[in-house]
Amino acid sequence: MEPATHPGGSRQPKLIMTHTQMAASLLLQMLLYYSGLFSLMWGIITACIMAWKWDNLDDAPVFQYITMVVFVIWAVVEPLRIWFGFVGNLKEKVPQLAAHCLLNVFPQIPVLIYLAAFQPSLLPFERVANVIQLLLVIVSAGVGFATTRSLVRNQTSQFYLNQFEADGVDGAEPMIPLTAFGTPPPASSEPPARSASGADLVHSTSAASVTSADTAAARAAARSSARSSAVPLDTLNALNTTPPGLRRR
Amino acid sequence: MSIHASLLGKRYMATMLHLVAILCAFYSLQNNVRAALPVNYKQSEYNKKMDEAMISWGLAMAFIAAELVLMIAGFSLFYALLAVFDIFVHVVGTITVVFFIANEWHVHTLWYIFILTVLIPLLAELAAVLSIVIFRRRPF
Repeated sequence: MEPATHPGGSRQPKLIMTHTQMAASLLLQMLLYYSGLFSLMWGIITACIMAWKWDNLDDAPVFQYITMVVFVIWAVVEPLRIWFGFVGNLKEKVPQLAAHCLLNVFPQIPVLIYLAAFQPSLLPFERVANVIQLLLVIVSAGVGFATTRSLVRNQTSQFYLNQFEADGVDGAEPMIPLTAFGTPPPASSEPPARSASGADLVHSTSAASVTSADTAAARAAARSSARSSAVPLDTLNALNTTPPGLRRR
Repeated sequence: MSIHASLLGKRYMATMLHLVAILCAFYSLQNNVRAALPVNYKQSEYNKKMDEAMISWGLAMAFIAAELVLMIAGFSLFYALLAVFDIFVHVVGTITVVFFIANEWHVHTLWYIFILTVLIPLLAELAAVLSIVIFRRRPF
């Protein structure tokens, strides 16, 4: 992701970024939207089919009861699953997204496997539509898990970066993380002639993303700024180390 | 929400229902082929008609799937007229396919269903893709 340069000189607080500006996943959102629409149609049609089967087919009663119970479980869990996915993804909340992942894996996939494969008498519509539903849920589970993982990483790195601010690193200005809602407005307006390159920006703790050119430019900017408020080099090196348990994305 | 977003949802539902209907038609192709043959038919005639039915069914399924993929890719997101046309044509197509299955129509009508309700929306979608990719129209 390209670093955003902020105009002006060193009077403004340095901006830092985590390696994702927005941790919400577009792919998951699209999947959830289309999956929700398909579930709505599928639920209504399958309810009608269940009612018809109950009246007209002569399956063993135990199977009819099992199928009914399984369908009711699906009908209760599916709106919850979609809701948790929406809220967790759009508001970037980990508990809701984790609940979405769990609901994907635990009631929905076994339920849909039963409905697609082990029902006693399958109509053609059920064979087709239940397989499509099962595929959607399996893909949702995978993408939801990947999104949860990247969201957790994003929030972990923000937490550690906030810790740097809380600990008060020597000589550094308070750092303001970029959020999904934009950067805070600059405190004062300075003539833009002072900034040599985009080197006022300090990269996140992903070590490889800070190249030697940036470091050299940061050093040059630090030397050329009037105030000694630029980030000193050892702070830069301290920031280059990855906190424990945080792998580079 | 804008009109384009709500149209997209309805268009997805119409296209998906049409796809599911065509996939269900696979299970009734036998009956349709038998409806197209004389009472005492030979196995070779049956095989020939079945091959033709499978070709038309396979083309219909592939083209609807392609149109779904192109719809999700979003080239025609801002063309409201195309969306309305798609919704109408796919709903008509779904109902026609349901009649094809339930009333055991002659298998040749699957070609007409394919051309009128699957091929024409796909061509319209491809026209939208062309206008954005090649003619560089930006309707937003």
